[in-house]
Amino acid sequence: MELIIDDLSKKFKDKEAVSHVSLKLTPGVWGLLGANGAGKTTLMRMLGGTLKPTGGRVLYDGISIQVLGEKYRDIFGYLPQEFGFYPEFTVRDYLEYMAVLKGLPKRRSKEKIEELLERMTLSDVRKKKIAKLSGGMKRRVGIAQALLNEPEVLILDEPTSGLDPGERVRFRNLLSEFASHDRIVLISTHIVSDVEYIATCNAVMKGGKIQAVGTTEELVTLVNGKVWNGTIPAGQLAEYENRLQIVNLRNEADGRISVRYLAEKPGIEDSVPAVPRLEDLYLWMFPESRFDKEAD
Amino acid sequence: MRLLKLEFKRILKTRSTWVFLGAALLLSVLMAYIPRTFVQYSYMDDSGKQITVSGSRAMEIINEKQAPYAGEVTPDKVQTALETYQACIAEYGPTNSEDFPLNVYNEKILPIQPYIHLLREVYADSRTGTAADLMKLGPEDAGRIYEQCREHLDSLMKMEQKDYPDAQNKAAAYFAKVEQPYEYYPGYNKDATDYLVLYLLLLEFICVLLAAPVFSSDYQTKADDIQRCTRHGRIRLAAVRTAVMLILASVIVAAGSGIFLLLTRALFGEECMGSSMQMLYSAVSLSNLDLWHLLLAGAGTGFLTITAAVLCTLMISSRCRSVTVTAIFGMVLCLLPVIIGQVGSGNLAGWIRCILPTGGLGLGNCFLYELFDFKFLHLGGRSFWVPHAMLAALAVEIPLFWGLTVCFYNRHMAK
Repeated sequence: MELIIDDLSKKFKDKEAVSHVSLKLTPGVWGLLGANGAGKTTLMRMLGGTLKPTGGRVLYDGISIQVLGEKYRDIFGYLPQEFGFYPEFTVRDYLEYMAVLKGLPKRRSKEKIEELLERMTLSDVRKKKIAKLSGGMKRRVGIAQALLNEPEVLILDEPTSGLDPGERVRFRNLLSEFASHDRIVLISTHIVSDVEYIATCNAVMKGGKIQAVGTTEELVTLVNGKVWNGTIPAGQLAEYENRLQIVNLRNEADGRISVRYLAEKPGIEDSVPAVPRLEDLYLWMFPESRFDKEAD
Repeated sequence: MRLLKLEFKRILKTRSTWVFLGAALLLSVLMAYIPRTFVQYSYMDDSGKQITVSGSRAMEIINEKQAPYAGEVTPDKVQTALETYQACIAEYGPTNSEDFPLNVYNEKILPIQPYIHLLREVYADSRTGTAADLMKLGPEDAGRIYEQCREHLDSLMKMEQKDYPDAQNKAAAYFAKVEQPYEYYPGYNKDATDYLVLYLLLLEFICVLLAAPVFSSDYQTKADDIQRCTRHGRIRLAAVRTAVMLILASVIVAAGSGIFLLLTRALFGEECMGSSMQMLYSAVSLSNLDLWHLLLAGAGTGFLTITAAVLCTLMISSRCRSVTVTAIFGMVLCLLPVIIGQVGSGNLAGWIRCILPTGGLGLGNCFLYELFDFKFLHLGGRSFWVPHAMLAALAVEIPLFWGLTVCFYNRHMAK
């Protein structure tokens, strides 16, 4: 089973949101990393067939998804970044509605809904109107609907936004288990920790193009020798922040600050090389998103 | 079926559905009742003071007065009516004069009023169309009232459709099917027909406003992004949503107009519904319908018009990403026949009005009013009576808009 993205492009007036992207997705969890505006959502909508590409094609097991039509949608699950619910529907109503749209038989849909309500810890709010749920709960309802038909291809656009840390961990475990059954799961995120430990492979997207593809271990080699640990006097933090791309800092007891920073060569005396992580690569490639990361 | 059931559940859980349904039912009762209150009857009491009664009491009195002339409109009855009229005018002068005694009017003229209208119309001047002076008619004129109806229609068509012999021939052919003698039963107030038209127009607004968000709302909230990626989220969902909206609109229109018609029948009486439409509207109307069937035809075509309007709105909704814009387009669509009717009266304007899915309903020009009228539309050497053209347009548009709605929704692409 494979999903091939073949020279896919999408142009909106003068702006090319996705530019000649080619990628071969195989079973496992795929992380699609990129800053806001990198083209991730546009790419995902084209994979879902809700947005027409300007050029290129998407093939599922060698056949265009346009040709497959209903057959492709039958094995497809999608959670968009932003989506609307019917405010008058309860959680259960909505999942039942989606189960019917996905063509699940009545009995199967009932079982599946109960299972997902349980797994997404939504059992207590099953009869509550969606409009009255918190953002995180709405997100979980969205994830539940995407999983209803046990899709072979699952595309999740920023699935963890609004989830608390505990929910994120549960969600990651759920996806890992789900993908282990020979399924393609593509998660778009700019929260690197969501995919760092569960992604079989990652693709980094910038300016509508895929900049790098590989396993987490392969990708972090791109920043080998560029991640450093050092300590600075607390009073000089602002000065160092201007000079270096600091990715993490911790106050020490002696009035100094331990910093982790990205640089071609050491920028602080007595710095020692650090073991790079996926987040370092992300921040190296998207220095402008440093504040996003801190905010997350 | 499960999708249909759940789609119904979704629609029926929406507050606006119940608000509109409630409004439709409330309006049906109100608008059926109001015309009855317009009926008035005035008379002089023993002290010479003018007394006016209205509503059911006035209707009872008028029905009582006109009872001797109820039933078949035979040449003999027409002749008696003419003689009574001529005798009164000879004694008291014109009925519109202030000197004409009110009680004499009530006793002598009011009972024969429908017959007087009939004579005035069919003996109108064949060149100018001016109403006839009944003092110049003789008993033999009353005796040949139905032959005169045919002659009057011929002269009317020659006057109104001078250059269109096909229209003249068709009108004569339609009129030949009208049953004679006519029948007349008192008790109906023609304002009720206008209220039926107005009510159907309001139902059209309600149904169009209900249909506007069906697809646009999901584009706007992005709920569509998820549904579109599901197995049945395209053609089947579009077909089901369209069907649900049509069923809902049908229920609203059937319930609303059903209540209106049954209430009208109950308020004005069963008997008056048997009157020939020629005794209430033009004496040479081209349809062979009594009042009840005329009202049913109006409501039925209103139903078809609303169906077409709903489908056209759904088609717009399947193309438009904003509920507000769809609703505005839908309302403009409803009002367009009224506007076209006001600004243009030519053949082209007539065709446009008929071709519009909402052409069957409007103020001043709608299917029901066209049934009393003699307007024909022309294409090459052929002429088409407007009600027939309207029905033909609806027969094409209803399946067409349904197909286009499903097709547009299926092919919709996000931006």
